Amino acid sequence: MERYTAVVLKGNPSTKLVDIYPNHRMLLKFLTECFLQKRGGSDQPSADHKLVLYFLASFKRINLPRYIMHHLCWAIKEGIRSKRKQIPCGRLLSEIFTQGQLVKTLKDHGRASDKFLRIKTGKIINGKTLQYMKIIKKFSPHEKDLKESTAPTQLMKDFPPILKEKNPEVLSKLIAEFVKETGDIMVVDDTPADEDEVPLQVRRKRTISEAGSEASGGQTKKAKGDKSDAPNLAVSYASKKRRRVDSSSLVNQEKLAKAREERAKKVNAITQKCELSKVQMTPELAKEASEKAKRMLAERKQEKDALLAERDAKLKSIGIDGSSDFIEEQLEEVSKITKTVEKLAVKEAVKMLEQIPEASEAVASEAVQTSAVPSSNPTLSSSDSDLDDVPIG
Amino acid sequence: MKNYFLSKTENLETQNLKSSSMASSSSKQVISSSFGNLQIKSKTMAIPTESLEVHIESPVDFASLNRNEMNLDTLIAAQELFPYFHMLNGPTYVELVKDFWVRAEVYDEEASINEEIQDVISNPSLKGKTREEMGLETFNETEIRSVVMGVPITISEEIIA
Repeated sequence: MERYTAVVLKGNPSTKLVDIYPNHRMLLKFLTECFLQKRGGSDQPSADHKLVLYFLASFKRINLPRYIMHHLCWAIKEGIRSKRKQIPCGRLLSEIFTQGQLVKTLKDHGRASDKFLRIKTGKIINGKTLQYMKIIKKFSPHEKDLKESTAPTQLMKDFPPILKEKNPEVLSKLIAEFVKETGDIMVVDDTPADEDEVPLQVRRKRTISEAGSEASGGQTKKAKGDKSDAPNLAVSYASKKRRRVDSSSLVNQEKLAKAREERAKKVNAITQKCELSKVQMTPELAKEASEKAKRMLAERKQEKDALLAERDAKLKSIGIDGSSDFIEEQLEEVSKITKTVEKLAVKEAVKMLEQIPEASEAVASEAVQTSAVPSSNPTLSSSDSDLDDVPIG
Repeated sequence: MKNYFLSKTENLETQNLKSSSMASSSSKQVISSSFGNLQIKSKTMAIPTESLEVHIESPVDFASLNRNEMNLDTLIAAQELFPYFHMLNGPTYVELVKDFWVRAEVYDEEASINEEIQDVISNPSLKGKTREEMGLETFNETEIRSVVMGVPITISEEIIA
């Protein structure tokens, strides 16, 4: 540790990793992303990381394969013991599968299509990474910059064997039986089958304590839960839900059951509608529909006739003829009466005005004009002559 | 080693016993299912495959770093790591890696000793005998043993190097 402090931390144990030499920062980046991968950032290196970083920074040769092997073994043991979900060295393992003829064997048996393998590539560390790390101010891309490749590497001639069984017949039997027993390796759809199975993950602001514990890494980070802990979260969510249901009253359960029934009915109605809308019109169906429409029209006509007959009967009982001729006669009589009333009113008004000598001429002419205009309301026309204002005496 | 993942019918019973002993030695639930005259190694991890995260190593563009005033060539050359970095820019077979991982187990010295103990428990007459006499292979180095789509594989430090 003293040497690590002297070489990497510039002799000061309290030196922050952001303040170490840029090339050492880059080496640490390589360590966490290319050799001994770990979750989280590179701000909290483990003892292994510190040791390897010291050797790399001081130009001392180190047996990296041993460290990588050790790291893989640790990750496997952690996966078995504490269900650690991170698989390190994905690319290295894939290369071993390729060089060790595993991929070829699977391809020979038709079990290594791109769909099954789900090929991915890592993100390249280049000048842009330096910009993100604030080692340089601006990254200028170049046409010769490395691009991600999915092309398999050339096979080595002296690569040690990884397959424990080389007999092609046995291998084909094994692969066939494996497929039969476990099914194909499926490209898994990440969306849950049922909404109740996995809860919606709502992003929320992290508390200071959470942020602190995540920064420290290790087991505490797992306990806080992240994307990979979704199934665990689902289990805890389901158990909490169950507890809530258990504690709720019987009435609530009944209400819930009713609500479910109603919901089911609504869903059924909608589905029936959907099914009906899907029906295709055939000539037979069209004929049947037109016949039905005719029947319905006839029924409505009958109903209308019955209603009219009933109304006439009621009118007759009162003494009114319900026919249309009777109504017309009544209307003519009303119009005649109104006309005679108008004439009488005009005559009376003229007589009264004649009794006043000054206004006799003017009013007489107005009266003539008024009588010439057809009035729909005789009562109004009689009262509209301002006769009340005329002095009598 | 012969009792590893599968072999012929001759010692099927013994194999079942031994494979289960390996399972118990690594303190995990291994349920070996036999079919016909072969045996497939079951999962060693109780983790759903879809929840596993495969970390893919990042390839390094040293030329781009050089163009941006970051020269690490001497540091990398001192460790002879350029071939390793060159290898990193390639395909990762996510499904194969996951299948490998859920059936993987570490066969180290501790596991080999547990293997011997289990053999002695099942057959007390083997007590005091060497590994060779017990019909077990000599333990040489730590290995990662697994099965990928039915094909048994072993990874050791030599292979990584």
